[in-house]
Amino acid sequence: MVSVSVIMAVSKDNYSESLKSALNQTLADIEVICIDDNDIVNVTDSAVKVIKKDDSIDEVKGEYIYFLNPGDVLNKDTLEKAFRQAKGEGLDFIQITDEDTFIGETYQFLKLRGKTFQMDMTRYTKLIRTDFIKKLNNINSNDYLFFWECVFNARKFAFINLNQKFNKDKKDFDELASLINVSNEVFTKFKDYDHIGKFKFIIFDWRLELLYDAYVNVTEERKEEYYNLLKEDFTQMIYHWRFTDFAYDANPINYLFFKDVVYSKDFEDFKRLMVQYELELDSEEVKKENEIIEKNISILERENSLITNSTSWKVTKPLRKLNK
Amino acid sequence: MVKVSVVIPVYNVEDFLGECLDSILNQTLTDIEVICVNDGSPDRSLEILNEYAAKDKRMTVIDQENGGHAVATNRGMRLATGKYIFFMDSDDILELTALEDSYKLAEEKNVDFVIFQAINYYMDTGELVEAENYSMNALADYVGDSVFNYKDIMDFVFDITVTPWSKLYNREFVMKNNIIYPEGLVFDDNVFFYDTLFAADRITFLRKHLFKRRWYSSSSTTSGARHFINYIDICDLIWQVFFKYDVFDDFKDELLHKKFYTNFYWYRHIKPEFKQLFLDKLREDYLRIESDKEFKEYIFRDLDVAEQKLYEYVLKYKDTETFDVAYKNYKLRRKNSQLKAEYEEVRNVHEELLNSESWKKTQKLRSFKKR
Repeated sequence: MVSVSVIMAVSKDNYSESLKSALNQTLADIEVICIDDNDIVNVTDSAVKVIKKDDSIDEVKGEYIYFLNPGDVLNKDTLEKAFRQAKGEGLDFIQITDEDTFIGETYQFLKLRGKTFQMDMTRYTKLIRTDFIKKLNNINSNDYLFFWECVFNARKFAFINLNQKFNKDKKDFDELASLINVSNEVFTKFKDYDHIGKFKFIIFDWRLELLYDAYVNVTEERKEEYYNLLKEDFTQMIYHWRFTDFAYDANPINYLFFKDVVYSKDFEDFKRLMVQYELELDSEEVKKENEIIEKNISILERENSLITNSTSWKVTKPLRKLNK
Repeated sequence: MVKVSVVIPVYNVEDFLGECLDSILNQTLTDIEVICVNDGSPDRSLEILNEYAAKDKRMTVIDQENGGHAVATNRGMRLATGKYIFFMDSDDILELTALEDSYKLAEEKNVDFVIFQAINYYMDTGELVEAENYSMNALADYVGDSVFNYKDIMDFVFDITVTPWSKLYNREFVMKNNIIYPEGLVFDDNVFFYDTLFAADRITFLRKHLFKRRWYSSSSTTSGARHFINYIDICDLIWQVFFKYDVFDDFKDELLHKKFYTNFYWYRHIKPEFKQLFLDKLREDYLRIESDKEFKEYIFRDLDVAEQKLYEYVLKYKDTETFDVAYKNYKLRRKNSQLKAEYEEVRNVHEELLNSESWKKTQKLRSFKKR
């Protein structure tokens, strides 16, 4: 019985560390499959199967699938621990993280709701049940679409904290540009699954943060090009998303970015607005910190007052008078 | 030599000049000379001056092209011959016994200058209103009748109004120290005052309201006018005075406050069309600090983190729209600093309470109560 099939798509020569970590897993009974269309993989280990992209996923024998990103190095026991919890709880997929948020409960989309947007949306951070995945669409699509397809269809998923580090891929211009369409497709997917009503403004927020982040990561020389793409798309958003219905529920700082893109006269004007936007983002952070400190001050003030109004304090008044 | 020379720079005050001159020429101290410098007034001020001069030999009128308060005052000062000198504002009113009272006290105590009190006169309602900045009661309480110098009143240095008309100066004291008003700038009285304060060996306080400061809608410090920008230069000159007398360190906090806080008061109140000019000038001022590494370090050592950021913002954000967003950010950061300090205080009190004898001794009482 194969527990986990590790699938790694190889497109350049950076896979060997990852492959080694997959072969050194404490979990017995795993198979390792490399999808290699360019004959890059050079391995004599019989444990590794090399196939072409068009070969179907029916080849997979494992009960669960793990998509391994070349560049990620797995901890020795990652697959064992993840598999144990996933199988034990009968999960459709398990999210591997390095923090304690959401640990200890099982979820479906309608339980996790808006917080789902906080999850890592790449396919490389999950152990997914094979029978579950076979029924899904979008397996070969962009990670974001695959993610939502999983989430919308999963009856049970959960989280496990394994202190496993995953590399954040640096996206090139085309990948960043594709985010514009991909995030629109996510919006459409929400409509298809009839979840749009309650989540419209969360998707709006998520999309704007995603695309602001993308803009920041575009190289200087191509920023103007990216700005033009954004402007074209955002201007259409006004009609297609009918966002005026819910824009007021959206985070004002995201809405500000939207307005800056749409209403800026030209790229020079937009650059100036982006300088201001960075400051506004920083101001938001400081404002939040201020609120926390204010809360802590009033907690301590209250505790101090509880002490000085307590019986213990009143009873020892003569002692204090004496000490003066 | 007359007892007191009164120097009055005059500009565009035809509505109030008569009352001003009446209050001077009718002083109970009669052995005075009155030197009026007309600073190119476009209205009837010069005519009024000449009318009065024709009737009183003690009065001299000089007419010159407009050069500003400092130029006019310095000119009058050069022509003065009296033992003491008094600088009058041409739109205000001096109490009739002011010169006699302050002269007598100055002679009695043999001082470099006498400080006395002033009161606010709201023209539209006729109200006379006292305010601590002109009454200086805290200082008065502290020094009483004594003769003092700046070293005796370090805590009150910034509580004394810088206005020239609330003092009677020994003229030789001013001349031998070469103290003049910095020309071409509004707020010039700041510089003159601190120069005299640190140069003086003997000062005394006269606890009487002897001057009425007139308030009306178009006076120069309330109009949001272009010359608010002068504050930047004046602040610099004030710093120079404090360095000259080697007392900058003693007053570092307040002086930093002027350059990194008060400047922005003027920026916020200047008319919108002058804001860009103000910001550009302030950037020039800060660039002078930026170019001197040691000096910058000396300044930053005692500058709060929020104000350090604001300094960066002035250098970095060239247009006022972006700077204003940065300024809002600074206000949040300033609040952040204050909150952190407040939190430290409350936490210290909390620790003290928990570690106090009273609390520790009653530990058993509380555990008993819990059960």
